[in-house]
Amino acid sequence: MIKDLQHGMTVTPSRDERSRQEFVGALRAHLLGPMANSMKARFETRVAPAFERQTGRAPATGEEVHDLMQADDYFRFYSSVRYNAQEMVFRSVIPAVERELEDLNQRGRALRQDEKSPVTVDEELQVPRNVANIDVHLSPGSYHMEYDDDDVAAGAIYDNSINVFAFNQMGRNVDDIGWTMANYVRLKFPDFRPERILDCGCTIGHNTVPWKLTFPDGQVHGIDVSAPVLRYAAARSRGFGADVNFTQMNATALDFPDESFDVVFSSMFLHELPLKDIRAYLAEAFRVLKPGGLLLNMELPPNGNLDAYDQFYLDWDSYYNNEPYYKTFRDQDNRELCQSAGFKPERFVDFVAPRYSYVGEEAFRQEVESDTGRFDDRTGTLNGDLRWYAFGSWK
Amino acid sequence: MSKIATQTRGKRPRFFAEAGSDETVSMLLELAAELWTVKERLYALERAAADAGVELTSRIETWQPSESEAQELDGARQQMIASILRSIEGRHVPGTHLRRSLDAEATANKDAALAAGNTASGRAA
Repeated sequence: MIKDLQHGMTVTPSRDERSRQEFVGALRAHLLGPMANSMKARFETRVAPAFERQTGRAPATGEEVHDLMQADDYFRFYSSVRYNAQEMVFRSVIPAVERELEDLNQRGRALRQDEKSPVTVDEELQVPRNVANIDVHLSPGSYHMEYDDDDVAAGAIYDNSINVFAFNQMGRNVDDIGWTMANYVRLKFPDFRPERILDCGCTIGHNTVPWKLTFPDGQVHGIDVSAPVLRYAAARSRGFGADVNFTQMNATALDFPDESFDVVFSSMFLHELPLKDIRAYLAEAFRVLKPGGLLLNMELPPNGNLDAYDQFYLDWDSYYNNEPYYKTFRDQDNRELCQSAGFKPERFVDFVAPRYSYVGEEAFRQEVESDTGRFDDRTGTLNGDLRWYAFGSWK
Repeated sequence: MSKIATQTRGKRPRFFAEAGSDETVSMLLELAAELWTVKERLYALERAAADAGVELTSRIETWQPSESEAQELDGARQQMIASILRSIEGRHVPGTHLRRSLDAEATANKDAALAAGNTASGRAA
């Protein structure tokens, strides 16, 4: 069963809406588990051998696998069902948000009265085209649409839709990425005590709050281009007693002084950006990091680390899920990206880690210390024993 | 009218060459979602009745239809199966009166068109 979120900004779906959400979550679990496994088996036993008989070689790239699979009936059904399931995620959560919107906005205002998590909205900020002009991952209204004064609708839709989308695989409050990344830093680099932490493209702050709770003495900032998700983030963070500063700001032009942060973090952010914005963000991260500071980006694994089929499998979103920059990003060499932003290549960091809030402190510590993290088909896919990938660099 | 946007902007991809196949998958999944909500509601109904002291679950399990109820159920079940499978059955679908009358209408129209055509070409009579 999909678990209710635990903070002051939750909504109450009707009995039927809840059943619909359970259905959509279960449908996605079926798609990304058994159907994904069948599709891979179909590729290995039929599609790839047929290609090899014709050409005398195996499919070499994700694009080549995609070209072949487009003619395959199983792929068509998988894709069709998956596309519909994505639409149904939003259809299952929007009615409750719509019904409670006035109350949500009111609750948000009240929670933000507590000045411990201030939110600063920049009325002048131009929402970039990669957010404003497309409904990212098919979310109606994208991340930024506003319907009322002090509006939080986009935040509520985001939070509740990931909760359905993830069918309990991304943390109790869809926050496991934050827990995993903050705890990786704490356990892997015990002498590193970050005092100022910046989360770029933080949306509802679900992965920002764990940094504050892991490093309670640190000052944590979250920025995003969308105002409604930040209003929601500030109100949501009160439910966890986490003091975080949320500011509407573009990560490609940070309004922070040089050398002012110990950690610059992002999660599931870069794949939403055009390549030139990724480069601009990384250059800004380099500028605002103190010497000895750490850049850390949690992301989908790069295509260069995956075999042709797994490249194709993760690229599905780029072709069919309104994620136009996703593949371009995953085709990059992340070490080179960091290097061209000013980071030294020998200070590059990357790893694959199990989910902290699922495996627990001891198992996580053992994996972090033994450094066994490897890329495989569990990396970044919601299928079984999921693992998260991250890369970055010390400055 | 919903205030929050509910439609995704942009064109939906098509995965099947055959016209209507993509829409059919959408319809099936929406129906399945609706079916599940009904199943879950029935489950909730039984539990809620039990909380109120009415043991519906065991009564449902041991319930036996009367002769007339059984006939009613038999007819409805057959009708539902025929309706679900009607698209592959062609013209003669037992119990689907609507389809039969549509077929009859189509035949009548065809006859009328033929008759009109014949008159226009002067080959009638």
